[in-house]
Amino acid sequence: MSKGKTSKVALLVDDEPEYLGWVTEFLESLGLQFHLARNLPEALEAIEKTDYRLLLVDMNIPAGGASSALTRDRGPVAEKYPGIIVAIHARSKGYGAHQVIAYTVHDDDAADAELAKLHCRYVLKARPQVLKSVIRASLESQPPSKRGPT
Amino acid sequence: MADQPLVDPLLLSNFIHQIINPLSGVIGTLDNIIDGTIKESARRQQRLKAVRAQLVHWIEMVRNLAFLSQLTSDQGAVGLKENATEVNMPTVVIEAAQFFQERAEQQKMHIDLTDKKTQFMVKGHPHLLRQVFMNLFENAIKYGDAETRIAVTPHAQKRTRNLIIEITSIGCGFDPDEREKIFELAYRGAAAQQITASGTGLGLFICKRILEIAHNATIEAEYSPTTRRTTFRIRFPNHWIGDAYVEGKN
Repeated sequence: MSKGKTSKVALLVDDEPEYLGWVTEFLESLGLQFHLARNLPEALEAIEKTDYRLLLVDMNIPAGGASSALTRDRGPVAEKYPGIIVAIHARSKGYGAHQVIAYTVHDDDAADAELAKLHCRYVLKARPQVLKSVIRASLESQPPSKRGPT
Repeated sequence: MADQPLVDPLLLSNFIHQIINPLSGVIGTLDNIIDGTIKESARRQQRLKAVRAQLVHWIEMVRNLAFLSQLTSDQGAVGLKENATEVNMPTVVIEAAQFFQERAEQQKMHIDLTDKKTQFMVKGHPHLLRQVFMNLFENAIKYGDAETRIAVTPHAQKRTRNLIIEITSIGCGFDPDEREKIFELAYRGAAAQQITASGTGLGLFICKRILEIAHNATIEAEYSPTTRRTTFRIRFPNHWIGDAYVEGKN
């Protein structure tokens, strides 16, 4: 079965969830539940355990313990934005480009370029209408029918 | 030779991050109310209250910048020493705690002033001292474990006659070699960076400057990895209780 096709759960990866109440309300209004991961290890573990319909990933999250080696190996952009590793991992696990939505506070060309390689959407924080429309578009798209990047 | 930047780019970048995040939450919630995502009236009221709390938090964050400006200029520091008034410490602590009531409740934490009756007084600036406690409470909530207590314990030390106020919380703390560094401008503890990727590194620096420059007081920190207990200890050399002035020995 395709990754996340029947899932009614979204994964939120953000280290400051106290400001995400509006996102969870929006997801719930669309009939989705959500899981929360506050750092890179939690996000990687969540991806291993659960099939998600959608992943919303803050690029600027703590790398956390042993996982920080992953960001170091991946280079300076991943060290600055460990969320990149979450996006790469999700794509390698079969999530489609439309299912992984990344965001940052700062408009950063380097983060944009890394996410472009994965064909993931990159949204700036504090633009809720944009994020909502990207989420809606993601849910209207079909998840991939095969494992691997699309 | 390359020009030095007027402002530390990392500090500025972190500060922008910390300002945009609460505002992002506010805009998103207001959008949800406007576009009908939140339908129930009671829920709308609850979310508006949350928005208000986020705006209060945002304002206090920005206010730290004003304090930073005042506390790092000679002129501002002189002004602070000249205009001190009598400050009722229990009132200051309670006012500061009220700002964080909602955020603390979200984490199932509570802030507890252990002695509300004794009217410890110091000479200083109530708004600055309130900011000290607000910065300490914010850290305690941000880096503290859920379902724990933040205790504020004032007492007059018999030996020195100093007024000591201890703020204790349970959470991630800091390494022993960071005891002094955490009070430096733009410094963030390694453990804190594992909880949230960004922070201003302003809060404790401002606490220290406010206490030392404007109140002739000190602040120190300790952390026990065994109990996960962080203690901030503020020491005022002189104080009074009601009408009884107590001059410190040191």
